[in-house]
Amino acid sequence: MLEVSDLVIKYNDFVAVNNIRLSASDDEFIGIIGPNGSGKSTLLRAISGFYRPTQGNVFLDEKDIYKMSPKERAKNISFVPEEVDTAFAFTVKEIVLMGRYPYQRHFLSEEKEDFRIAERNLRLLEIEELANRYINELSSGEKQRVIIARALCQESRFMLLDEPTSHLDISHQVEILDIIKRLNVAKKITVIIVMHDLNLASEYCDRILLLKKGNIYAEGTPDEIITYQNIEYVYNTVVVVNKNPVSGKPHILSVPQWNKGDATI
Amino acid sequence: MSLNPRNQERNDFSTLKNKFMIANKRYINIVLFLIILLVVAAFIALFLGSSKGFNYDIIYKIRLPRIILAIIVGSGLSLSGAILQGITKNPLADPYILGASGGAAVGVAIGIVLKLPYSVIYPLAIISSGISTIIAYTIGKVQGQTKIEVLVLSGVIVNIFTNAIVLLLMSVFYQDSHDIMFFLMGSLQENNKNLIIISGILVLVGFVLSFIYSNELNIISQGEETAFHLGVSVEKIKWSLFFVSSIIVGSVVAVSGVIGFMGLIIPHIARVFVGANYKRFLVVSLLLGSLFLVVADTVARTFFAPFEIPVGVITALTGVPFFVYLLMRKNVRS
Repeated sequence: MLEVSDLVIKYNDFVAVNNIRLSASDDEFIGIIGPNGSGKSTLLRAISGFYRPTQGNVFLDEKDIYKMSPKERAKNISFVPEEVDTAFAFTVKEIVLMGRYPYQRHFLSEEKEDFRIAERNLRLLEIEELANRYINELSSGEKQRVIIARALCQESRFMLLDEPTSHLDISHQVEILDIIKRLNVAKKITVIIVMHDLNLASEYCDRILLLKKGNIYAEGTPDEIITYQNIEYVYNTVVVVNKNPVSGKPHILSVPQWNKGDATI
Repeated sequence: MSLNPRNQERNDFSTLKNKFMIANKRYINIVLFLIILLVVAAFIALFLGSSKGFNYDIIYKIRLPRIILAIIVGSGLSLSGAILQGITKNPLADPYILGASGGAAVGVAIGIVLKLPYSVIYPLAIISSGISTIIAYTIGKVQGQTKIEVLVLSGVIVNIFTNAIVLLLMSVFYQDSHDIMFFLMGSLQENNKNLIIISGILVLVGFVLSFIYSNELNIISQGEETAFHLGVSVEKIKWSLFFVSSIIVGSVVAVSGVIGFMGLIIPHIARVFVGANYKRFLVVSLLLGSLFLVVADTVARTFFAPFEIPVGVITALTGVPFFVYLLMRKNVRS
């Protein structure tokens, strides 16, 4: 159980995140959506412990995560960034083994267990044949798989993801989100994911947080949140909301406005 | 995705371990090869020079200390380059970027103008390079986090400031400007055995400490945020490693002056050989740095004999084209 209580993050006078309350129970798939600059990523990094809030707290089973040791925190919460950017030639195997760091005591203490877990997660993400390749030689989709495998090696109950598919094409987006959803269902990992693509958020999330200027504007199931009223108000654009004929989830269509009203620029 | 548990447990960790073994064998071969090359280079350097034939005093009292110093300085500069590139996540980072060299130069310049004995000048250089490193780090630290761009910029600023102090000292105490200038050019002519030993010990301590931190270095080189999320105490470990690096740079610069390019170029080559994993990469950087400086110094004192050129000139003249070549190779692994 992860509880965010009255979280406020201020940069000087700018309030990035205001009074956020959230509780994530086990094996939920929670999406955070909102326009650019609405505080999605900041909120996610406060939940991960990376940003210290100005006010408020994050509790993990009633333990304050800001007071946990870095290793203890990493055993409970893993983080998947938007993309990997490393200037150095590490092999996939080396990167994935880094996920075992919270469990290692000494500098040369990679145990059989660590190799076994790394191997298992490589296989789970179907990248075992990439094990000896250099990370900077891989495609974006492959890199994301590597980073998810590394996060899995942390064996954490909570996985936070910051727009993990925004650099991928449509087939890889679905592929990566399918993987995350299966992990969520099969391994009971609680997922909190920041998403840019509202339709994908609608398809995958159990619950969605819609942020506007650092505040929670609305919270609920995709059916409750992805409505044209909410989206038009928060994103300040005109949309039509349909249903995906296969999944039955709400689906958004943009409505261009260039030929409406005064056509001069 | 295979979520079938029977598939998952098959093969255990054998694949991964096998691949690890292959990498290890290649690594051991490279290390052995470099050690042999280093011994051969050192042996040849011992008998090369303007004095022909076997002269005990020249070989044991002049050339041998010089070769040992080349090994210490070469490995020290490469080592600190490797450390700094890891913690700044920047393959172009160099020990001098931190302002460590500038600091050391100020210490030496003050020592020279105050006519202090060399036994005081050297520790002064170590301390002042440490101080300038800490200043650069403190300026670079904003709101509890150290942004790489800010840190690099603050290192440059500290270097500009320390250069100005050195130039000020050189123009006020113009009678000493030749000595300061000669020191800043970088040379391995150092006959004080104790200073060589002290530098050697400090570089060795630096190597052991950075090797112990090799896991953390690997992870921090993925970026501070990633390291934080993998459970590394980023700030604490970065502080420690900056400190280790500045001790190495300070003690090396104090004993040999400013020899550029080693910390930038050697880690690059080492990474091409063994990849970026610090467990392998630190050792190879150290050996390559020693080898490179032994050869460079031998060239510096023999090619234009009886004139000697500053070894820093050789390292820059060979280092720059190689670096350009590395940058232009599209498939560079580092």
